[in-house]
Amino acid sequence: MPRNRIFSTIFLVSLALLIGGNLPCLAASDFQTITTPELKTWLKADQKPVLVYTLSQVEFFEERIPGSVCIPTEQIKTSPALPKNMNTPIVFYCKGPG
Amino acid sequence: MAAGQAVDMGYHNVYWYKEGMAGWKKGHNLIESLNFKYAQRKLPDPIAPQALHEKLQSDPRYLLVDIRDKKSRQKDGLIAGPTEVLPLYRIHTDYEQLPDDKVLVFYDIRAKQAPAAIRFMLEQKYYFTHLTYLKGGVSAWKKEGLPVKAH
Repeated sequence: MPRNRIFSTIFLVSLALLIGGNLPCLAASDFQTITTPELKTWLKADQKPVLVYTLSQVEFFEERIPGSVCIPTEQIKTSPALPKNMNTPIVFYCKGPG
Repeated sequence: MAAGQAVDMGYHNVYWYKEGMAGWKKGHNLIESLNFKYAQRKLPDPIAPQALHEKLQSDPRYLLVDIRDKKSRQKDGLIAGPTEVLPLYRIHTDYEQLPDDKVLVFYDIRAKQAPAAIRFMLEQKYYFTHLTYLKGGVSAWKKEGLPVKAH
């Protein structure tokens, strides 16, 4: 096998590994967005998501979507209010635009 | 962002309701309120950036209360002047660290959250005349070229 071809094969294999190895990471760091009608329908279903308001408790007490829990963004990683089951759907929201 | 953090923690079904409270209310959907009565309270007038700048130079009673999170403080810096940093998510537990003999000027990024802080402080019996908030938040302050210091 000519030397050039060996090098190009090594290059292509490394590139494929690099991209392939990174893809699951990219997919894992993803979340989906949800619209108002979708959320409204979902909250009426039997299998509801956990709905999380991410601003302060002071604002949460003033107004919130019924059925929400309040976990400020700064406390997400330490909050006991998140579900134990990692497959449970969670919907996060805050004030929104405007 | 909260949704990103949840994904990092290993949650597999994470959603972001981007429209938030604004979108929910726009669709005339039901909301829940525990403190409806005080959510309707009249607010003291906000103070404009230039007027605040002058007060901070001339009146030692004025104390800034920065209610933003760490990320915003690092991004935009802090308004130059005597400051107490008390992020809004901690105000209900730590508000007593704020003096009641100063004029407390609450500020956030665009004055969207400061009103809630003020309504809470009024509920804790702080004087109406001793509370105000920066009109337009730190964004308006910077837009007018007024001084900020690094966090």
